[in-house]
Amino acid sequence: MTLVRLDNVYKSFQRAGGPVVNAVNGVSFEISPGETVALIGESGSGKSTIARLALRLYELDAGTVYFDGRDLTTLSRDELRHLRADMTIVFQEPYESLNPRQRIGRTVEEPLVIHEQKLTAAERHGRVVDALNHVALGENFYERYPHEISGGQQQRVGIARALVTRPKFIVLDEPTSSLDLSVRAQILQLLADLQDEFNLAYLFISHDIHTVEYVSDRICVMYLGQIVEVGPTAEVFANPQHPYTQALLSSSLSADPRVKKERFLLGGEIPSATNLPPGCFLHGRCPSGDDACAAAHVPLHAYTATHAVACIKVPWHADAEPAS
Amino acid sequence: MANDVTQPLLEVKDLHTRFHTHRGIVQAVNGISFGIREGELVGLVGETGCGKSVTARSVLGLVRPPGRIAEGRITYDGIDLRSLSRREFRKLRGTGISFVPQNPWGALNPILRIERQFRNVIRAHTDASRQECWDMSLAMLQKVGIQGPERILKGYAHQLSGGMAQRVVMAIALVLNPRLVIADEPTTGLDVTIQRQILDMVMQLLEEERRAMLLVTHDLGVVAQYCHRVIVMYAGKIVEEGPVSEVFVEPAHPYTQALLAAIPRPGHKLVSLRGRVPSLIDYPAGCPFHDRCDFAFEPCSAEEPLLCELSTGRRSACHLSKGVSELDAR
Ligand SMILES: Nc1ncnc2c1ncn2[C@@H]1O[C@H](COP(=O)(O)OP(=O)(O)OP(=O)(O)O)[C@@H](O)[C@H]1O
Ligand SMILES: Nc1ncnc2c1ncn2[C@@H]1O[C@H](COP(=O)(O)OP(=O)(O)OP(=O)(O)O)[C@@H](O)[C@H]1O
Ligand SMILES: [Mg+2]
Ligand SMILES: [Mg+2]
Repeated sequence: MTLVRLDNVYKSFQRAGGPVVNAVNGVSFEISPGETVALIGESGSGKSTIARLALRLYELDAGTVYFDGRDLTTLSRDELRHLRADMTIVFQEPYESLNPRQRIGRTVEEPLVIHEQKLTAAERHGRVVDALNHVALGENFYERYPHEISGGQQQRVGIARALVTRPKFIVLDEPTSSLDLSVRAQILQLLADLQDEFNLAYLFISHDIHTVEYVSDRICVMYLGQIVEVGPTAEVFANPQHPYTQALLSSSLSADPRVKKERFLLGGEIPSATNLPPGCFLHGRCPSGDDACAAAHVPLHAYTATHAVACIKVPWHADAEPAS
Repeated sequence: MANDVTQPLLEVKDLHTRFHTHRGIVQAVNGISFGIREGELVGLVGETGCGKSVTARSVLGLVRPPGRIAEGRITYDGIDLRSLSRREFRKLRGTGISFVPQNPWGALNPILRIERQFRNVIRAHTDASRQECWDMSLAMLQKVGIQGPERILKGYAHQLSGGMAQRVVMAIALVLNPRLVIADEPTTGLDVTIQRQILDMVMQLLEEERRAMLLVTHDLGVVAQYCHRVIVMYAGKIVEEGPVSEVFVEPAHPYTQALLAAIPRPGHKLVSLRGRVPSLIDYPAGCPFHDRCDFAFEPCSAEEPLLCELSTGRRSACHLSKGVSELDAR
């Protein structure tokens, strides 16, 4: 059963007078209840755009997003507003997503006021305290202001706000990137506990390989607005097939000096999303890129029953041989 | 690797740097001592606000009011850096100590061609001709992995991507082959694959030329893989120091242990630190880490542990580490 499904989604941006930025170029994946799917990729690869498309916080240029069997792109504003209680988001910068002049309790309460108008004030208060307790902040944080608490506590407030409507699905857009290592561990533990308790589905966005390997069940590797590899996290980490995934994994540096870093194979610069190269987007940087790679775009194809790769050098899975 | 009998190239002794704010005096760097030898690549790590950048800026003579170096000696190659004027400091840049800041855009001049920015640095120290400057700049850009360096030299900063700009800043810092490079988070914020490409090239270059580096970072992996030695700071103090091969394999200080245990690894339970970093204004008595430490016992809240030598080049400031000799902080 799937809870969330993106089907061939596209999104581009154009700033006044500027070139068109092709942020998301045909992305599909799905997430089941209780599952954590990670999106990993470099800056500008389209991760945050996908986060917003998955909740239809942005309009899609093309493609469809389904939530709980419903096509979000066809829903009215009102219908969407009801669904917003079930699907929420935690943003990267904890401080920026909080209103500095608003007390913590009010910040956490806000989604209830907007999306669950049937609740009484007393019921809302109970829900807020409950959410604050769940993120281990407690009721005495209710009256505080954002600047009076630490970065890790601010991030907990963001999570409490995402949790207060009792959603089924939370998008976590780099929830720990701005936090120090020691605080990061607390938040990851908290997210894991909440997932177990409420059977939450997570879309977990990160560019930190260690974090993604630790938290996710499945992983989508993105490069320039496309998924180049997807599969169970353990399988992809053990046996990465796309040259970009291989490079990304080998660029992660172990803090154990006895584990020697692998040789790094990519060269050159990342192409601009305003001027995408023809063929495979990686071919200019790829050690095994050749004329065939430059000529034709390669779709994601099955490599094993659960693992798919967008590279023509990677063999097709026996059951998924292309028709031609 | 550096030879133990030589004098350090850079020696910092009992450095105190404070900021006088309306809330009180911030003890940003609180009595630290360390040395860097010729050819040594040293990582400086610790959580946000622990004093890494202030340490780097103190050495470089870049602390500005309300900040002030209150105490301490900083010696580079026998020169007392605290006695230098700004002009004399500038003379030292380029060939002596050069600086790579985190934000490359602040270090590049938006209205001068890149070529000219190289030439300004080279001409401050040599009487190289225009052609010689061009050749040196070109060679250096190639060494940091820039393709088509002619085009870059003729262009301006705004035409560069973040990764390219950071390489250009590094190339300018390295073009006169300085004996010591101080880099403050030089690859933070860059894409990981680009970060890896830059670090591979720059660190290899420094190693080949036997140049020294103080690399400020919060990325333990970068230090583990590229540096010889590591200094761990906590709340304005050095809590542990030693060869990377020892500190990261068998950390002596509970804080270093906690930092390493907080790196997510599949199949391991994540260990997180409780509590918060102490205030640098009302500095606590005893060990600055004691109220977050699982091993704290009576003396920890009362008496501050001194940085003790555990073995040659290996120091830790913890009442539980048994030192061979107590190093006086002064
Ligand atoms: N609102 C917008 N207007 C114009 N361009 C945008 C907008 N949002 C994103 N972009 C562009 O779309 C591309 C993808 O951006 P996105 O923020 O999704 O990347 P990301 O993978 O989240 O990056 P990061 O890791 O830096 O957060 C980038 O080139 C970005 O500049
Ligand atoms: N101009 C200033 N005025 C007041 N306090 C300052 C100033 N600059 C730095 N500090 C304080 O000095 C302490 C050390 O800051 P520093 O910038 O060295 O930290 P850091 O270790 O480099 O942290 P990060 O990893 O976030 O860069 C911090 O508590 C900071 O708030
Ligand atoms: Mg983003
Ligand atoms: Mg800093």
